[in-house]
Amino acid sequence: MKRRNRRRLRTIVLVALLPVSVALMVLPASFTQPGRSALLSVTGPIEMGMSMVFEKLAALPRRFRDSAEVDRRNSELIHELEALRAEITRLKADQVKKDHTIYQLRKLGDNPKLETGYAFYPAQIVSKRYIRKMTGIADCKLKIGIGSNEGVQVDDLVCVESAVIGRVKTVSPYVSEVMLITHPDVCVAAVTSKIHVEGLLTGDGLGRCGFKPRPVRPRLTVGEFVLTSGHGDTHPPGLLLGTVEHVKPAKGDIGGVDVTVRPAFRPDLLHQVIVVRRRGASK
Amino acid sequence: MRWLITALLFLLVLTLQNAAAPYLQVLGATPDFRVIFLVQLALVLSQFEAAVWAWCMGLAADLTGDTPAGVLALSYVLISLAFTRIRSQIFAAHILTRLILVVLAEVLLHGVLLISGIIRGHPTHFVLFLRTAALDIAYTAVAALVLLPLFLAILRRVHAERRHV
Repeated sequence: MKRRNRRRLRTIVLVALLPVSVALMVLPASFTQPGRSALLSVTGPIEMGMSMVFEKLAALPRRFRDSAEVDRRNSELIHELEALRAEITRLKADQVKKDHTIYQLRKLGDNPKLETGYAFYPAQIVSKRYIRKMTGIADCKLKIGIGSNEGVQVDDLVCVESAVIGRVKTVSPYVSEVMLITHPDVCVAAVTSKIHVEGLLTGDGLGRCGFKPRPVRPRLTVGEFVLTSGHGDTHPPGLLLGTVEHVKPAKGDIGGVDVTVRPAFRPDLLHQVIVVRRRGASK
Repeated sequence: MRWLITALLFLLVLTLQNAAAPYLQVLGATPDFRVIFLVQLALVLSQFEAAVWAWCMGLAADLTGDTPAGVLALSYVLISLAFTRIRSQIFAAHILTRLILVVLAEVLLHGVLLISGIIRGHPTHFVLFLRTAALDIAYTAVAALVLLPLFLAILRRVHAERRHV
């Protein structure tokens, strides 16, 4: 009897897994946000540690290629000199990072379109994963060393030198995950700089963005800047998203245009970012 | 204790996939350690245990990745149920059989990801997708040659040969 009940229970659990999975697909993303944050709290620090180890392993071959003979002859002096240089470099790097952060904050503050009602949180990138396709770097998954303990929330805008790079996707107490604007799931309200056409900017998954203007046929020019419009009042207007790279008539849409926007940043040059959120905004 | 060790192993595989796989990229392809672990689980554990672990692993993969919650969870469960059903009909002890199962699972998962991308309205570049998928599957198969025996040894030890392969 007991065995039969156990077998029945197992069958019920197995059958229940399928509709639960379908239900999770249909529910909005905010429903699974606590789960994502909890999992990131556990896996984030482990991934950070593993990334550091793998970076050191990846650097090993380069070190062995150096001339062993030169190192042997001058080993003691070089060792001492390197220790001193490392110390100087570390101190200089710290100073440069601090100056850079202050410069970025000042630059954002100088932007006349930015209202003072926004808070800026500088953060260091702790892990970077490139997703390479045949055409080059298609996407990049970033983890930044700042989280909900500092006030960061999901969907906050992430910038570097007043250029927007993406949105916060998942938040844990100390680490957050950033999705770049080149990802198809990221959407930002945008406006062009010259003729002020409003629209939506979304990623295409191949390192570029698509701009969908409101249903008019705008006369966009290549090289025109695309900025945040501040629509919805959740992020400041006037931040640079990218430049118009291609404009061509849309297939199957009379009067429509397909606009390709080149982002205003390069993923391989990102080291420090700033998270921007409206003061007093809550989830 | 058994489930704790399996859970730690599964967490390790998940974080390795996120942290190590990008450093092992070749021509844009990365190996999928989770699928290799899933196939080995399906061949060692009972149907119920394998399905539950597959669901948990799929959900964790969804929550730490790009896919909507439930997509990989459902796919992993269905693959696990299918493989536990057919394992008595095949010579699952041979590395080649397990390799074929890994390739089959990868093909199914890439199909699911393609359909998921189309439903979500992502721009679809079929030729690029097919190229990347073929490289991913080949690379995973090569990684499976090393990892399948390792996972088998660990799971057999942990689950004390409750299931025989």
